[in-house]
Amino acid sequence: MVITLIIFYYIFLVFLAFFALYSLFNIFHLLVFGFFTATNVFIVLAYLAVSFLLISFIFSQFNTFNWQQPFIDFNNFFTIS
Amino acid sequence: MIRKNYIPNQEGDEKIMLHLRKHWFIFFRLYFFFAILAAIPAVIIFVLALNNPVLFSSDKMQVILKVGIDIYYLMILVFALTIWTINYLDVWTITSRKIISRDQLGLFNRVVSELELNRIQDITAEQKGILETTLNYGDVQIQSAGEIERFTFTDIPNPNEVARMIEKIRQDCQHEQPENTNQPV
Repeated sequence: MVITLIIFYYIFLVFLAFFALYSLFNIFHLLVFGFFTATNVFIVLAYLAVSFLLISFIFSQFNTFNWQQPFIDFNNFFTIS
Repeated sequence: MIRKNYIPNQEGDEKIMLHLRKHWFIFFRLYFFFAILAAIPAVIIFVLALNNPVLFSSDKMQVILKVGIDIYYLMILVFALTIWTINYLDVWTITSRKIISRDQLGLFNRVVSELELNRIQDITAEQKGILETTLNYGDVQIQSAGEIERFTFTDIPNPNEVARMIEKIRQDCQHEQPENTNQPV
């Protein structure tokens, strides 16, 4: 049995889900409880823009990785390759 | 979003006198800390690359490091927004009749309280330390005769001026009230 680097991609997706959920909670609070001011609107839009750019950059990086490289090969006495 | 001139349970000619938020330095101090956190991976990688360059020659190690750093920055970003939300949503509104305290204690913990100005017993302004004195921010504590005995405005700008203003508005409110009551015949 071989565990490939794809496991790190799945771990990243878990953190991405956590990030998306908490971002949603925060933006909900700012929209529902915050005052309608330029600062509040700017922060929400800036956060969405930065998040979008960061996630786009991350996935563009991920496209260059070979996720099928073996990470742990259980066939070879638990050696990490 | 709430309109800035919105007053919950508005009475007659009640109007907003002042909105208060935390002093800008509080936000600066928090985000300076986040800036340091954001710089940490770059410093660590630089030091490791200098002392152990073989570590970064492996494709697998590069993938693992990049995924780790990406996760780290996503977490910093979302926690930075959480800290902003918790501090930015702390708002104190002084109207011509009452004080409204909106306190975001945590992401899922919000307390909104109202205090009629005529129930105020004591107002205290506090500035402790070099930074608070130099940058002119501090706390205003209001002792009341209501269910919540003490309101505290934390880390607001010009606390002494705010305390004076609240006292003046309270006195104006008390002077108006005898004119509005019907005297028995």
